[in-house]
Amino acid sequence: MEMQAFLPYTVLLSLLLPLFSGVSIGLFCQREITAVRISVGVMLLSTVAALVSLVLFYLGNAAFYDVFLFSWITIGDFSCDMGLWIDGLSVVMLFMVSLISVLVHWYSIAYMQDDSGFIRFFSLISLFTFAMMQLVMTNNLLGLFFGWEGVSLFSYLLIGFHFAKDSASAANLKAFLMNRFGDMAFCLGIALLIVSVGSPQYRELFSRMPDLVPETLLIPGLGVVSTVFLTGLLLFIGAMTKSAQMPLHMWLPDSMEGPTPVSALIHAATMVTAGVFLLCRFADLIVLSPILMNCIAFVGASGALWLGILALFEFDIKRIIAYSTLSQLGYMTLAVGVGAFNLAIFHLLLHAIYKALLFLAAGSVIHALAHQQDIRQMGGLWSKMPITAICFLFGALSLSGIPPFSGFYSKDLILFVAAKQAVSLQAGWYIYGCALLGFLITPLYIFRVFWVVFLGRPRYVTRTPVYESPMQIVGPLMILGVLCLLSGYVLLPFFAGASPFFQFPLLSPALQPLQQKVIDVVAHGLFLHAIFGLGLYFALFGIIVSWLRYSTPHYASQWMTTHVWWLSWPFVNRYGFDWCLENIIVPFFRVSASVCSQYGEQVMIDQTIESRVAGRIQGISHWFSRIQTSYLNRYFAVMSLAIMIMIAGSLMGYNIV
Amino acid sequence: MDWILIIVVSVLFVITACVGMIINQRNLIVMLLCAELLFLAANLNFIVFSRLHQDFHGQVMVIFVLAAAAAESAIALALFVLMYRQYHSVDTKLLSNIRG
Repeated sequence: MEMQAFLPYTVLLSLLLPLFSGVSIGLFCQREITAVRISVGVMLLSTVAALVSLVLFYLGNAAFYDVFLFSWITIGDFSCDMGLWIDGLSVVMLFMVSLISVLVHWYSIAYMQDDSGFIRFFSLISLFTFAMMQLVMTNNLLGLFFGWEGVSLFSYLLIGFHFAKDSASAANLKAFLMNRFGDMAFCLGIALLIVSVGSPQYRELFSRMPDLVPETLLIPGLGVVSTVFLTGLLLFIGAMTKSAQMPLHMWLPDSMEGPTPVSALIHAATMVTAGVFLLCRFADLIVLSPILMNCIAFVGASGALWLGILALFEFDIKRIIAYSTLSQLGYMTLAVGVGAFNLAIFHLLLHAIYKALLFLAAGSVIHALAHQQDIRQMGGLWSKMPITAICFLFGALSLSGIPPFSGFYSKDLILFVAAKQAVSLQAGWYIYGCALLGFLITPLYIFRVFWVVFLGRPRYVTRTPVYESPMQIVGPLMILGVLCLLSGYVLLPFFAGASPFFQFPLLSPALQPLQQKVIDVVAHGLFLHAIFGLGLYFALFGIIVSWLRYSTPHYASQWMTTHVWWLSWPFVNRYGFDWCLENIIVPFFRVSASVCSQYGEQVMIDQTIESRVAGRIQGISHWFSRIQTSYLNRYFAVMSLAIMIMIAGSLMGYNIV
Repeated sequence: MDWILIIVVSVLFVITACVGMIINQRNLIVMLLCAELLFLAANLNFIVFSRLHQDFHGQVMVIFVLAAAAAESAIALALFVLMYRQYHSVDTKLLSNIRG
């Protein structure tokens, strides 16, 4: 009898507790204090259960556990069994989700206290946590799809939490519709996988993955395509919308309409990383197609640089951090693209911690300044809110990749791997260049926020004096700040050491030397390696440049946009993606909708079917309705006549009944 | 050949009941009586055939049918009472809301 026998139960406990609290609060809870007690208490229990699962899994020897729970669908020889897929990846994600979630729950008590939808808020974030955990823990594709749609739904409901506000309801619609586009591709990818493997279970999928290599599909109009490439591409498009990669990223900055704890939990730490998680989960599939890997690296690197630059042209504190999230998601996708899946997950975890910290610290500032989000209306908060300021600084240093803060470890390794792989990739130098310049841009925009918000002269106008936020707000900040300082150093051996915590089972042989190089670098000391690299100097240079540029009273000068407008024009217009969406794609659908409405609805249905066909039927039925005399004895007469005819018929030998 | 006679009686019951049901235009209580007559005819057949086949199941069935008929007529009469309170009559013509 081993301790690992308890593993399914602890995972299941961790998974179902948020569901219980979300449903019970949403349906039955009337009082705010009860909602807080239930949801925070239950999330705390769930986090403990997740931590126990993590430890139990680490102490065990198995590479994965496939736990059967119940048989969900059986149709012919297709069957789908619900269950848990417990491996390093899923257990780590489970713990990360529950940890960030419990801190965000705690933080929201004070942050949301004046809001009328307080109970609804707690119910929704608990249910979101459940959906996210289901997404990471499931052992089949349909369960994955269920979790995937679940997080979309709760993200939609939480972005539009203040649904009476026009901008919020527009933003949640935008997020939802853009995610539907990706889900269409994701759905097709799942269907293709199920059809080509014959089962939605991970166990069969992963074991039969190499058999798929020679298979091809004939697509009318496109010719013969390799199944692996097409499936991987469809899954990647799904991941692109969920993780807001370059051409499909427009929904994420707008989603900042949601309350700040939601931005921290959903749009920084957990849901947007689901795409990266998906790519790592299907690492076995993706490594089989080098072209696809190259595409992924290209998209990721482009996002890491170009979307980061946009943060420099924003003045809304939350939108700046949202663009920073886009840039960091680009780094994770880049890591997947160059084959360093464990580094992608490493960066994902560290990013979840420091980005949640940055969002929550920004929320603390916004809360103190009575919902002011424009950084031009802040300033000089260092002395007023010292704890928030220090925590924000920790987050900013992590994000910039300054040792010993957490972001340094993952970003430096990702840059190293990108440099090693650049020679063998198409457009490799562009990919490496983007990753490297991203190191310069990141501190530039995040320290811009820091200098402008916390230093200089106070520029805010509030009715009441500004104080440090209450313990419920700075408590989670301090915990996350300490984690920022420690997590990189502590977690490094598990993700990049000689015996990595999770092994992606079938890494292609081409990637194994790379893995070995990463291990060597870590063994010789990462800091030493960074001193002889470029990334660290780029980051320090970025901090200095942003100090020179933004710590002055001219921080908001419009010199660039007025004098060299041709240079800043693409950035101010966000490369025209939003313009495209508003002036090409949306009008296209509006026109097709109005054509459908004109000819489909009005001509076909209203004029033809409703007035002609329905009118005729109405006439006939009016004639028939005269049979209904409502006299019981006539009904009885008809009934007995019918019975007599039936009896007579059967006596004459007709088989009527 | 006694049983043939009894069958004939039961067929007469059925015919009487049907005719009574159809030609009676108004009175709900008469309709109920006719329905009871139909039950009676069926019961008579049960008894005859159970005797003929030397099988007690038919006679047991009769008891059940009687119980069901009693319950049914109790419900029907209660409904008639309610209807009488509403309309001060048990005329079927009054129940014609669903006329097409």
